Amino acid sequence: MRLAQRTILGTLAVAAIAGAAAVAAPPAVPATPAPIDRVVAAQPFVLDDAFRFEWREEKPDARAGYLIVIKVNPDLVYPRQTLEPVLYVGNQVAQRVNVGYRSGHVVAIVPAPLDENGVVQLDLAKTPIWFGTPELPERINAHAIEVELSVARAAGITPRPAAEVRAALAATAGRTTAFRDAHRLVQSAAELIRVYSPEEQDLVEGLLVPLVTPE
Amino acid sequence: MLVRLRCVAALAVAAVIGTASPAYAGGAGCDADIDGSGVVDFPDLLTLLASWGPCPGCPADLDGNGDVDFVDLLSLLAAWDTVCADDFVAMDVVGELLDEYPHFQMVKAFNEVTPILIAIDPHAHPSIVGAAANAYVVASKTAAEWDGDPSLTDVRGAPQVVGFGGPDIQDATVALSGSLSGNGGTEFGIAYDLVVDMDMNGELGPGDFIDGYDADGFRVVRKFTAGGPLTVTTVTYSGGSFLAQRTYYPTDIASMGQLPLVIMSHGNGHQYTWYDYLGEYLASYGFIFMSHQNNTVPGIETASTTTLTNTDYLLGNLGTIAGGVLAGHVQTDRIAWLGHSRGGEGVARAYDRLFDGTYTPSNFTIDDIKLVSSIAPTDFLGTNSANPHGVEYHLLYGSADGDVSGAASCRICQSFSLLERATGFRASTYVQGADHNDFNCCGFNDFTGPASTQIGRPEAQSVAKTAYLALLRHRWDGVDAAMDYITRQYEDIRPTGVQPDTIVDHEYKDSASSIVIDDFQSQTSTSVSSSGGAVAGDVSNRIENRLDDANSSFSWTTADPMNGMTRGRSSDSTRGTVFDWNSDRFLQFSILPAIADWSDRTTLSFRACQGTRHPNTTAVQEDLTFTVTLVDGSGTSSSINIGAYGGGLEEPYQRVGDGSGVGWGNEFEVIRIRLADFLVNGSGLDLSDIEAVRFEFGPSFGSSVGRIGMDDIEVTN
Repeated sequence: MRLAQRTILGTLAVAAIAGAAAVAAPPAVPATPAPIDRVVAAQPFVLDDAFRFEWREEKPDARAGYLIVIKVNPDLVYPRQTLEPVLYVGNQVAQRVNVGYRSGHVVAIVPAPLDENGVVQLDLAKTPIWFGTPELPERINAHAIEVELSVARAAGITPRPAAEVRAALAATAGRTTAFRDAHRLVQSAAELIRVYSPEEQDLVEGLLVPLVTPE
Repeated sequence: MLVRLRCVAALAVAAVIGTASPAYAGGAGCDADIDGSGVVDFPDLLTLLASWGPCPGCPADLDGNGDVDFVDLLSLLAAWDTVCADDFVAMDVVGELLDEYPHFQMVKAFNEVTPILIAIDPHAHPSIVGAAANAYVVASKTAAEWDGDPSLTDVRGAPQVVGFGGPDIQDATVALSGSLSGNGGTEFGIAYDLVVDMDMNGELGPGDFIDGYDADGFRVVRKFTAGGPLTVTTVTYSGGSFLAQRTYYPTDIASMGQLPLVIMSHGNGHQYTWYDYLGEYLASYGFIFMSHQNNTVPGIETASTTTLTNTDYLLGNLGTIAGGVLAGHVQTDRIAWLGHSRGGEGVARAYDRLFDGTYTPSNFTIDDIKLVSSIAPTDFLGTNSANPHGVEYHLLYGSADGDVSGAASCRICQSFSLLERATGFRASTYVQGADHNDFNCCGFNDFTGPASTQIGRPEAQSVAKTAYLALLRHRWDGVDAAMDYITRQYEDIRPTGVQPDTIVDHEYKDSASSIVIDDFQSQTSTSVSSSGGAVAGDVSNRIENRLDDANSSFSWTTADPMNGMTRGRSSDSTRGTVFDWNSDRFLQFSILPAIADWSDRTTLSFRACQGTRHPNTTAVQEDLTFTVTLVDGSGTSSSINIGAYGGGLEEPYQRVGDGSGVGWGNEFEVIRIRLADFLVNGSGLDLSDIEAVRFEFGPSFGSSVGRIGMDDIEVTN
């Protein structure tokens, strides 16, 4: 601006700036490793069509696991373009489907193998769930997960109480649900978001839009 | 005898020319324009007198009788002041007055109701002084149309009688009367040509002046912060996992031809449904806009994948999406990728993957991606992967971004690194007081800056919308007037509807036809430019180096002369120079003879910025100005203060943090000066033989003190 008056205004502004706090800066990233507050709901699932799990460097195919709903410190999941704390479930990175900052509830997909009987091999009562060092999940490999797990254990992070996990399973009836593919799985996750994080209605609607080619 | 005759002739002439005013003729009397200057005037008379007497074949023997005599003299006097142009003169005429030299700025764009002036430099065209003429504002025509039909029809209903004073250009300006519409529907305003019909014969012909013969003369532009005239239809659908899309298109698309495609890739924690403001806006001007679900949380690779797969999906399913209404109406070889934050890096990475050949799409090729634009992108992947390469690249950024902050202490937050890596056309739009999520509808408010500077989401989006429309119309449709909105100082022109105190800085570099004087890349010596010429001066503390704040803080320290430069990391090559002054100082770039002829170029271009938190910057909180001087081989010089056109180098955004002091990252701005401006009022500068470009600083030349960075000094078109 070439307005002469801006010099004066600028000077006044500068004088005021020393005490002018930022208006709405994002919350600081909490220290990690950080435990979650609670497992709220958990539902095992299997898929007819495996999908490529993009949330770790190896990008393995996944066709079973758990849909979980967890209660967390919202600052851990404030949406940032910079590095965010990574959600781990045991030896796996979890796929966060929603943001969860306002509600404090995160819906996540946790891939897990199936045993020979088709049962999802993940015991949430024996598996720690925590937020680890901020990173891009696509850059995290098995070795990095091992390191994060040992750091979490050293920090005293333990699996959630068995009673809490039982209650979480009961919240979804605990039965393994079969979906055709990842798209249907995410749409199921959207229904959980609708229940546990209703502030994210636009996300829910965005996930539930009809397919171009109907079934 | 001969001497006496010449005296008699001179006396006769004196009586003729004392009251003469220019007369315009295409041919009659023009034999008397002996020297072919275009005007019958004193040099012709002197030539005739010098040839007096027997002189068979002499040009001054106007009647061809073998003698230069009284008959010839009388013929010359009868034709006195006749303008004898062989043709009309095509040149810039339309513009606006300036307070200082060059006194008049030729421009291509006017907002509606802005006064429009015309000017002709009497020093270059002395015959216009005192002449009466008709000024016509004509609906723009192509050169072929002008050649086929030179008749003049004024869109105002009748031409305007004008006269030009002298002796200087500021005395030879005329305000156009009447008002001109800028409502061109989906077009970028309305294009007009301006003709000064000197012989007042109602046709474009010899001796006339035209601004707009082979391109638009100028455009009047309506309030384009508002949407366009087309009704828009929006459809939301999914093609499967991470293939949800929302597409906006003109409702009446079935009756339209092929429309260019703009694709938006959102950022982390954002939704694809959050860009209605831009989708509806661009579709209302005749674009198809698709915003897609973007897999940003895992990282940039996955984000880039969803940009690629969603582009493929859309193009591969045009026959079914929205009932197939888009089929045949998508200009599939004219695609722009826009991305926000992680998605902003993702679109650059997506292009990089096409460039590297590591991703092969099914329904498009790299050549179909004509433009990539990132809104506050991250830079996780760095030089080799977050790289737009040679695609036309644009960056939109808000200075109050609390997320991708641009801070020196946050390497992955330095959005401008992506701009620096772009090797083709590149431009940026830096919006003071805008935060990260102002560029979508619904992200969290992350505004970080002095509260009084917050411009808010509607204002930030007005800037974004108009920047994109101007950029796309300029780059894709060749609209010169649109370029004005992304190159001229925002103090000089801004879209109607953007608030008058909103501060926006432009960068713009199109080196395709440039003579590069110094890009500070290939030659690291401070005494030699990259073009090989000597560099000399007495500015203080000058160094050249990578544009990379070296100490992770914006606090000023002499140990970090590139303070505030958040534009590259160690693997990047971008470089520039920094220096300061406290009294009159200069920095001069000598021009080698091989690149001294600038007569076929139009513009001197460079970019510069104030150095944040430097004592010289904080000492004067205002736009910084200085003077640019061109010197030719004969020592003639011409100088222009960059502030003459309005604005200057913006003071850095007054944000705190990232160290002590006030001021955020350095805000480069492009400065483009028409070379013709250096010729105004008979400067005598010879553009075919430029010997030096000299930048002059200090109280005699602009701001009394300053600290600046400078780069990309070029002569271009």
